Amino acid sequence: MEVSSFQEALNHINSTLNEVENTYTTIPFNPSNWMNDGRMYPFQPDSEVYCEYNNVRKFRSVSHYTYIGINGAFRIQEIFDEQNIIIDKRGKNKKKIDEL
Amino acid sequence: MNRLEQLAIDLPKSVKKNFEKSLTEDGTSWLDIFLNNDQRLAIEWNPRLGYGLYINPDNSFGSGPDEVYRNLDILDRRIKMILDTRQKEISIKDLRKLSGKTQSFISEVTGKGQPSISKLENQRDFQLSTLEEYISALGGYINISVHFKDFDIPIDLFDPTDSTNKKELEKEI
Repeated sequence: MEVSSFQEALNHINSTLNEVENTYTTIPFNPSNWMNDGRMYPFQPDSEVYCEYNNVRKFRSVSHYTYIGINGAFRIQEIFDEQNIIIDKRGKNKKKIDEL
Repeated sequence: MNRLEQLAIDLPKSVKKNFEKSLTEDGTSWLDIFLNNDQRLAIEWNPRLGYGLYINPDNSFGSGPDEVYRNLDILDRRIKMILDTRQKEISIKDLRKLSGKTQSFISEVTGKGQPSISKLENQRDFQLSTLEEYISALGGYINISVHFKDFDIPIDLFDPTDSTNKKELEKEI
């Protein structure tokens, strides 16, 4: 699936995680209960931290950064092992996060 | 400076840490504390939600914290407890210390002698009713959930209508 904007990439990441959780857990989707219900939830918009790249927003979860570019490119990588990149997808203009 | 940043500054200089501030005033900030080369604790703080402590953060993607705190002093005690002992597991004695209560206090509330409380704190096996009484004296209540391959479900071993603590805490949270 190709995504071409920040919002499309965000929706794609969130819907993928929610589908995985719906498949593998019986815990109901209830984001207000995220701190103690045991279900995994997409990162929240208020988890944004300083980003070293232009035209990219960076969100932190406990062990990963999710970078999302204005062209829809996104990258998920481990925080303390930058070489461990889980996914690095190109955006609309075929550019990756570190090429923006 | 936000409250988590202050906690980071107050940690001993010898403790390796990493503080990451939210871009917004009401967003989530993070503090990572390194216990050694391959173990860390992660703490998130959101002004609306409180503090989440991840005991084994490297096994986690998108899941909630292992422990939740709404009081910075208690979290501070918990962090120091882990740094001092390098033990992440918590005993009922540790719970009492986190709550800032003494054995005498528990003894007074439960009507049991202090030696009994001391003995209980060193046991690894006790009746659920005894545990409930102890936790209740600390001001808390117990929830028990069971987990199977195909489902997770809370079980009701205690009559919830009996728990004044539960009603009061649910009102406060």
